Amino acid sequence: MSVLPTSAPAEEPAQVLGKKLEPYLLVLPAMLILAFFFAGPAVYNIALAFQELSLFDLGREGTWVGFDNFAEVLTDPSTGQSLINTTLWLTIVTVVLRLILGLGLALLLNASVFSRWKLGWLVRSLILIPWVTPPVVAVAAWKWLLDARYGVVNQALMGLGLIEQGIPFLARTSTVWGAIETMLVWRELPFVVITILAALQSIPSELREAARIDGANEFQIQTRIVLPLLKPVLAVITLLTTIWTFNNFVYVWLATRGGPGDYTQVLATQMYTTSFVDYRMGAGAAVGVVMSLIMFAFALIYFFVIFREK
Amino acid sequence: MKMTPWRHAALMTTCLVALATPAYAQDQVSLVFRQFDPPTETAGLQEAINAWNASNPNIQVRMETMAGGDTLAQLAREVPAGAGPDIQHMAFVWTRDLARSNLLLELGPLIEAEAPGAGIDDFLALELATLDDKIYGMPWSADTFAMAYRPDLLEAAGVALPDTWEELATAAEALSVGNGQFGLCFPAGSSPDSGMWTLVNYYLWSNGATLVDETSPGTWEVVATAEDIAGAMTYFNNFFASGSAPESLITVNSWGDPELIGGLGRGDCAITFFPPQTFRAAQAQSEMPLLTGLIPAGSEKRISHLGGRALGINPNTKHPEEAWAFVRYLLSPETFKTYNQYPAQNSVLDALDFPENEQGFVQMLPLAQTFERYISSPIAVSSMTGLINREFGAVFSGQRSPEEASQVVLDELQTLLQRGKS
Repeated sequence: MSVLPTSAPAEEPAQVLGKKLEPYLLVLPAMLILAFFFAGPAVYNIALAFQELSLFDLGREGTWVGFDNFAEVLTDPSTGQSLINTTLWLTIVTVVLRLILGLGLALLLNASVFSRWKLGWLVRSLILIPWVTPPVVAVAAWKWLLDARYGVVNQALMGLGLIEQGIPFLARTSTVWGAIETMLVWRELPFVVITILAALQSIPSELREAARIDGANEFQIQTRIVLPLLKPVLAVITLLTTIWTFNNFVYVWLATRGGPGDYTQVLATQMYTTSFVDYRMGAGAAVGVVMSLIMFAFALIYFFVIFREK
Repeated sequence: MKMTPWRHAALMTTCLVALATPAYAQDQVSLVFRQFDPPTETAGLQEAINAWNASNPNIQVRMETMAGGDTLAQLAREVPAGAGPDIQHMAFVWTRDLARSNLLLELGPLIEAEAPGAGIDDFLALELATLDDKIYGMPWSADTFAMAYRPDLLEAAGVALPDTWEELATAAEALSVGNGQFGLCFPAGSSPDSGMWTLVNYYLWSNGATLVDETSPGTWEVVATAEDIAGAMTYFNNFFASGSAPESLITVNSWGDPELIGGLGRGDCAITFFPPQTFRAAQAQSEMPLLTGLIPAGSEKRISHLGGRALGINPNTKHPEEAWAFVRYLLSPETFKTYNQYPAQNSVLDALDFPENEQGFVQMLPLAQTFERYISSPIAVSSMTGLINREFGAVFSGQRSPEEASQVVLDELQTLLQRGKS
């Protein structure tokens, strides 16, 4: 006896509506959280950038001034210097350094000797030490290390006979950026190392073995097989570290407050100074919007290049 | 279920506790007092608050400490949102800005109901706490700076206590003997809250200059010349150029920095400038006795600033009377028994005896002037401070010559003045 297929009973309109709404209801809590904590402040900041408003009048609406704040920020000569400092000395130099050092360290830590001696856990733990150190503590510690008179670095250099007097690393224009970059790279390098290390460990060993059988040497394996496979990970790291560093306030502010003079002033410290020293919330917000637009443009170009390649 | 006697007792106890708890909570008022002195300097204040809490079980006060640099902005964010501490410790220079934006309770009615101390006219620098003839803050502590030095080092070098700025430069050079001992130490950092601001004004004022002034009623102008400012920049930069001050101070912002406090105690620095509290901290850890002397005189006069702290009440507080009672206690001589500051009341100040090594402060207090002129100007004092510190730092680090930096100062002061007026 054959069983004839029976058609499913027709769904009630409420059920149909419920099914249609289900995905939206599922994402609604997350969307509300995003809107409240991220989109809300961003919209408020944009609105603030078009107003003249004192820090002391935050509870009230400011005077709407159109694009005046943006015109002032963009024509201020100090903004140009801050932009160069932010882009070149703070971001490009440290991102490139992190990528080079991170890749080198990850390749070293991926060496088979560590797994053979069951030391993988140890090196991964050691490399994480700077990452688990709060940035405030890291900068404070480095400031003591670099102190001209009592710092370990200067004491060591003097002990080795390399210098006669301690170098005030954070007071001289010739050394101050190097000191800040050292602090930043030391603290932020582990993220790059661990991410690349994870990617390296996901590359199947068969690929290397096949290449060796075909006569490839170690250099060719690294450049022809490993690096191309790491490219997506390196791309994500570059994007993330660039955005995080470009917007970073902590390292420069804690190390030098933008000094000596305004030599290490970056856009983030300029935004802080405008808002909380000059009390001009609108102009400070305008600096923030400009920073966001630059990063937005960077991300667009970046994704355009990545997707075109694909 | 049968109600046994012990069940009856338990039920009655629960009911009594439930009824009594809200009544007790209503009777007891909890106040938050926020202050910004570093924890190392607040033991005496905490002792005074503990004494208050012990004798006022119905008004309990909790002290909250926040970094000085963050306090003002935090208050400006909290109060419009209906929050913030009940009582706020403020720098003299903040009161008018906060009052202008209704972020402080007007104290007039509370003062009329119960006057503080020996009466309102007994307080120093009351003009800084007043806006449109209404009082928004109570001057609490007053201080000024004095020269702090190691007499043994001066004696060893055969150097007399310098009396003028020129003598100070000469003495500093003689006291820099090359084994890590420098003649003069001061915070030369570029931060908006750097202590450089204080010394710059002492130098300018004593030489007859000031940054801005009300040249006629309602008309404010930049009155310092490029030469005045460049002269001050050159003067202080010469300490680094001559090796009389360690270059590392270009990164030091606070008068309380260990490099200054510890430096004087160890003998790394022979002379510096301190407010009373910092001097006491330095003396406590010094290897040798320290003394204080007058701020050097300029071509016109000898002068320092009358700084200090005020107390304000949050307009959002639910307990203004209780907050006022606590403020009056903080202002009283009883608090100053343990609170290690100079009171901002003439009568309390007169009743105190100061140790011999603090006579520099006692002598400078009558010569001190407030920042009233700057506070009344259309420029935010913090903007002026930030600008001066930044440009002096630019000269110290070699970014700009004194002439270039002084021109930047003048141009920016003009811009700030125009913006303030508009």
